[in-house]
Amino acid sequence: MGSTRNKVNIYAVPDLKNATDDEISRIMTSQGYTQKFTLIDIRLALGFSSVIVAAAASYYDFKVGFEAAKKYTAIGVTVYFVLNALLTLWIWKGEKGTVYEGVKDDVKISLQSSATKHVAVYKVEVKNGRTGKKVEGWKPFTEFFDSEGYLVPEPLERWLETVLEDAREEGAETRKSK
Amino acid sequence: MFSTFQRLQQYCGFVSSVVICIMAAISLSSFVHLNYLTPVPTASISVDNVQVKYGKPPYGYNYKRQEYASMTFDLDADLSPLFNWNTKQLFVYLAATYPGKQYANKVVFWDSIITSKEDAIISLRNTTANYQIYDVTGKFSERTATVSLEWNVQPYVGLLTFSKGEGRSKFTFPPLASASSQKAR
Amino acid sequence: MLPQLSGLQLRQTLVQALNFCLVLTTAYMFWKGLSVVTDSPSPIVVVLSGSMEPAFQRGDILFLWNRDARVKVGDIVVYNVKGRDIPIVHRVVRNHVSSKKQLLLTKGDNNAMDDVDLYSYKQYYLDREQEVVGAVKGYIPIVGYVTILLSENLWAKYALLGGMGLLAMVQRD
Repeated sequence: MGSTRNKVNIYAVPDLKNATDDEISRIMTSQGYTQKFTLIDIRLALGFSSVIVAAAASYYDFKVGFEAAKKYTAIGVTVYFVLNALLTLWIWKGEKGTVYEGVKDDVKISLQSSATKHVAVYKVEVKNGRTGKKVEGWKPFTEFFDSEGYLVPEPLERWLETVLEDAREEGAETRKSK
Repeated sequence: MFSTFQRLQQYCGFVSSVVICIMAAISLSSFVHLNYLTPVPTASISVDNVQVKYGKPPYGYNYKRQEYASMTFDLDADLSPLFNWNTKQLFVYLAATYPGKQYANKVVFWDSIITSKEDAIISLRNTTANYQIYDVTGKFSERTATVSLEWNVQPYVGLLTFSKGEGRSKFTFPPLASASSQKAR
Repeated sequence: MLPQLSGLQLRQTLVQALNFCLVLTTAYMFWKGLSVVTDSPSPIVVVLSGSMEPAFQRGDILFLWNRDARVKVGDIVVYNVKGRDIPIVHRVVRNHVSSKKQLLLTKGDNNAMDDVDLYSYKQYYLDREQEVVGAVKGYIPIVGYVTILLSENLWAKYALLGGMGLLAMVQRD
């Protein structure tokens, strides 16, 4: 593809997973999917609203001094941590590791990725939003990272295509594909 | 490259956690020891030779002319049980508590810093109080004071503890300019 | 394809910016939360002078608590004289308390004289409510010396904050 690529530490599984996650978005777009940003937008909304609360509380405290602002500072701190708890809950339960969500031809696809600590394997779970079908797949990172740490997109793309085809198939069973 | 930085980070994180655990262990153990496992020391105090004079109090920056009192005392106390692995110093003082129409009052007329267990056994005779005390109203009006020995244990790490010894003594402030000595026990 | 990617890139930048902000705001909110709980505008202070030696040395950290309506003789308090900004950490040596207020005289352990010359003109006692911002309850030695170094080099403070924020952006979870 020829664009600037970052060198990834091939000994760190989290780095490999993150780099692959980033590439997934690009691949999905090139496959003709329109990305739905709802999940990310919720995270941004929750996160930035808590930042605004913190900024407002700090401004008020700065203006009127500790004693006068005490009550509002207490409220601000509580609201901030509640929002952050909601944010954490959302990331954990709501996003559930979803790395990509997009639509093509009225079929919504959501893609969750995971990688176990110290195990150099990229696991993917693709869910068909229309039929509810889930397809799991996995591939060792060695199949799409070269020895220097650069991601080679072609093998990843090809594998992903087969997983997506599988998920879009109208059939009721969940299958594991390699 | 990446891995060196990450390893350094992990190492620093580990060292910090270990240090925090050690500090928590030291402070918790010494707190339990001081408050639950150590008997409260007793003190034997007797205050004599209380004199009330009028003028600018010799000790302090208060330049108002008013009544001020000086005294001597005897003190016996064994504070060595207060020294454990986490005791950095002991701030010991004798305080006189006396009532008033508007204010309840408590003033320190002698203090000392003890930094080792050997020095913690106090035996003083006829010691002059280092601080001449004056009252917020400027007059003592022959009130009676109760004297107690109190201390603050300063730890190497953890909570500061404040406590007092068993044993009280009383004395009465004499009327102004009478150099009579009042013995009280 | 281009608008798609730029929407994604915008959001990725926003997520990174959010992570950076959250580092700063969480630290600040913890500080303010502690402030509210202890009822003290500055719940943790670093010892700056040697006036309380040998108990406290420069660089030691003190934890304050301000919810005691009345402090006691022997307590170590932090106070700001009215009109002055520098907080002083000294011990209470005299206490006169009425139903309405508490008057204190303080003195540094390592000072020969009491604090009357540190108070305002013609002020001989401190008012607990107005001027005392907390009593020292807890103590950690040495660790605070970093802040003394930082406060003496202003750029070092910003470098540290910037470094922390940068770390949050570089790390992904």
